Amino acid sequence: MTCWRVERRLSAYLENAVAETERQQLRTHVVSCSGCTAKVQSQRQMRSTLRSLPRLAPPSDLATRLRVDASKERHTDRTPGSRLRRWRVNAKLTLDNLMKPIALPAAGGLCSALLLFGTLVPAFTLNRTMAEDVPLCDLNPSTSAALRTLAPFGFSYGDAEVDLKIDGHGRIVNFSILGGAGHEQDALRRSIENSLLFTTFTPATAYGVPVPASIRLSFTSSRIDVKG
Amino acid sequence: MEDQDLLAALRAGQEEAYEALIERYQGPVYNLVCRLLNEPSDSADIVQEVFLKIFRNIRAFRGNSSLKTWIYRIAVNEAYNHRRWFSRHHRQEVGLTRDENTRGYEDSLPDRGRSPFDLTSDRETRALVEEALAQVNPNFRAAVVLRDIEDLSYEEIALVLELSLGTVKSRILRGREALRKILEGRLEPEPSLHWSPQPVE
Ligand SMILES: [Zn+2]
Repeated sequence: MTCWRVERRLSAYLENAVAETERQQLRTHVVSCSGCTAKVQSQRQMRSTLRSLPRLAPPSDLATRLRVDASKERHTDRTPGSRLRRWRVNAKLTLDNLMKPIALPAAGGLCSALLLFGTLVPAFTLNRTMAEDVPLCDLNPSTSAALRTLAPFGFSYGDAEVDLKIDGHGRIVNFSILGGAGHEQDALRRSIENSLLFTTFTPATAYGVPVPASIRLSFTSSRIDVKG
Repeated sequence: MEDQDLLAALRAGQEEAYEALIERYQGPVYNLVCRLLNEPSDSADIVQEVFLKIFRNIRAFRGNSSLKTWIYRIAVNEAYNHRRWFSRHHRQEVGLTRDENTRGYEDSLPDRGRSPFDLTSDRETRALVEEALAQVNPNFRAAVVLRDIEDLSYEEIALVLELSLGTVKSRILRGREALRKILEGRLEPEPSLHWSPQPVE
């Protein structure tokens, strides 16, 4: 048993994660080697220091902010489609006619940052003339809402389309499930909600200012399509 | 109230349950988020984001992991997302503020020839460990923080980080090792002459 070996196994040794024979060998070395004894002690010290680190106290207004959120959320009707439906009827026709959807495969649900169409009407009136030979959405004063991160797990429950309304902070304000097989089922809704929980967005901007926008996600078991 | 009863009450939309949830988890979540971030000034906002996700998804939460590990998982994910966002947007500013805020290590260097923990006060030691922790690779740090600070079991950490038990163990060991190396570089400990061997439990 060498000091080098002891050093490598030190943490495991202190965590009681080594086999009995190795443990004996380590111990025999440690008690007869002042260098390793010091290391064992300092590692112990370090762990007890970690354990004794003071609990950081949250700012005093945090609890109030959380209570306000809780109260709002408790009273929010999360039935799919309740609030977005009206918006969707108005916006869908306009948007669908204005642009064709592109679909980007999201292998295994792990890809991130798919930047797609803007959804602001003012932006569309400008971008036809301003867009050069770059993909559709850049080089105009507005940027579209974009997926920042996607849930780190695949979507495994049939197919569905979801309309999302994204606020100026990139947060999901509301969503509605548009259809797809068996969309009445609770399990599908939960599965989508779970995916959305870990999905974040970069807000759309108009002239550099974040603005609310809408985005449509198509969930399928093998890929996720995004439409602005 | 046990977490399971709390969960049932939350799903039923009881006001007291939301209050109890905030009461029980705001501190731990805040602490965890602060320890995971190098730049803790946004921690309160991140905690708010975490709780919003909890509130919005509590009815969909199936309870196949415990409420605690589910909440910690959301917190870890939010902290990671924020780190990614932050490092993209504020790299330069981070460099500046770190220079300003980092304490001079010379102030706390003990005399050579003594164990590093002999001369430094508890408070100084904690400050050193906190600073060293901030330098450990975030993946390893999360494992160490959950184990040694938050006192979660290996199994709980595996659920929170969505990793295998083996990977969790290896990350904890490597995180501690990295921490020790950083601290040793700082403190340059020499074996003390008056060491007293302690029985290894
Ligand atoms: Zn040795």
